[in-house]
Amino acid sequence: MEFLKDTEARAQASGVAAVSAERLRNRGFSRTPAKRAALAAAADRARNAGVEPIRAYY
Amino acid sequence: MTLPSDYIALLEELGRAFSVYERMTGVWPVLVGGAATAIQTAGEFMSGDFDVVAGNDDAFAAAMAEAGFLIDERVGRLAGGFHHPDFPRYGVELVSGDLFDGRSDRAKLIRLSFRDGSDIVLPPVEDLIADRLGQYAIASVSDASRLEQAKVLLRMAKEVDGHYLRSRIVDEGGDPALIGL
Repeated sequence: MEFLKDTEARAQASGVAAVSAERLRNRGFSRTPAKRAALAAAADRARNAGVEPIRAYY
Repeated sequence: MTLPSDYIALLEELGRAFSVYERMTGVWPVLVGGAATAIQTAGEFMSGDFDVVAGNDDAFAAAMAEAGFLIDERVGRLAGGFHHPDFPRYGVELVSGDLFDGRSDRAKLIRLSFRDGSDIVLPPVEDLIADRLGQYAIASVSDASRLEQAKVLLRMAKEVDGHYLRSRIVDEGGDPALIGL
C-alpha cells in the first residue's frame, strides 16, 4: 500500500526509525480494567496459537 | 521498522468490516488510539489493540461478524471486544461516544483503500497528536510514552495544519508548548 510505503520512508528520513520502541510504549499505569483484560486475552490467544504476543504493559 | 505482515492482513479484514458498516449506516467507523498511531508511524510505535469509534454498536457487531471476527467472550459483549481467529494476537475494541467527543473535523479523515476494495479510516495526524498529548496530561508522571508518540508523529508528519493542531490539543486538555507550539 502506497500510504504505508510513504510512511516508512518518512520514518527513515525523519530519524524516527532510530527512536527506541520501548520509549514509545505505553507503560500501562492508567489502563482501564477492560483494556487490561482485552490485552491479557490477546496475549493468551497468541500463546495458545503458538505465536508471539505483541509486547504490551497491562 | 515496518508493520508486521499479519498486522496488515488484519487491517484488511477490519477494512472489510468497516466497509460493511458503512454500507449499513452510511457512516465510516474510525480507527483511533494506538493502532492509528502505529499505522501513522509505520510501526515505530506498535500496538496490538485496535480501538474503533462507530456510532451504532449493533451494526458494528454485525459488520464484524460478517468479516469473520468473533466476540471476545472473556472481555464480555458489553465491553465491545472482538478478535479474528486467524490473527489471535490482536484485539479490536469498540470505543463508546463520538469521535473525539465530536471535536474532530471529519472532513480531515484519512481513508486507506486496500486492493480488495475494503477501506480503513484514520484520524488526521493532528487529532492523533492532540489525543496523545491529552492522554499524556492525565498519565502517570513516570510515563512519558504518549508525549514521545506525539513528538514522533509530528516529526514524521507530511504536513500539519498548525491552527487546527493547536486548537485540538487544547480541546484534549494537552499543552501545545510541549511540542513547541
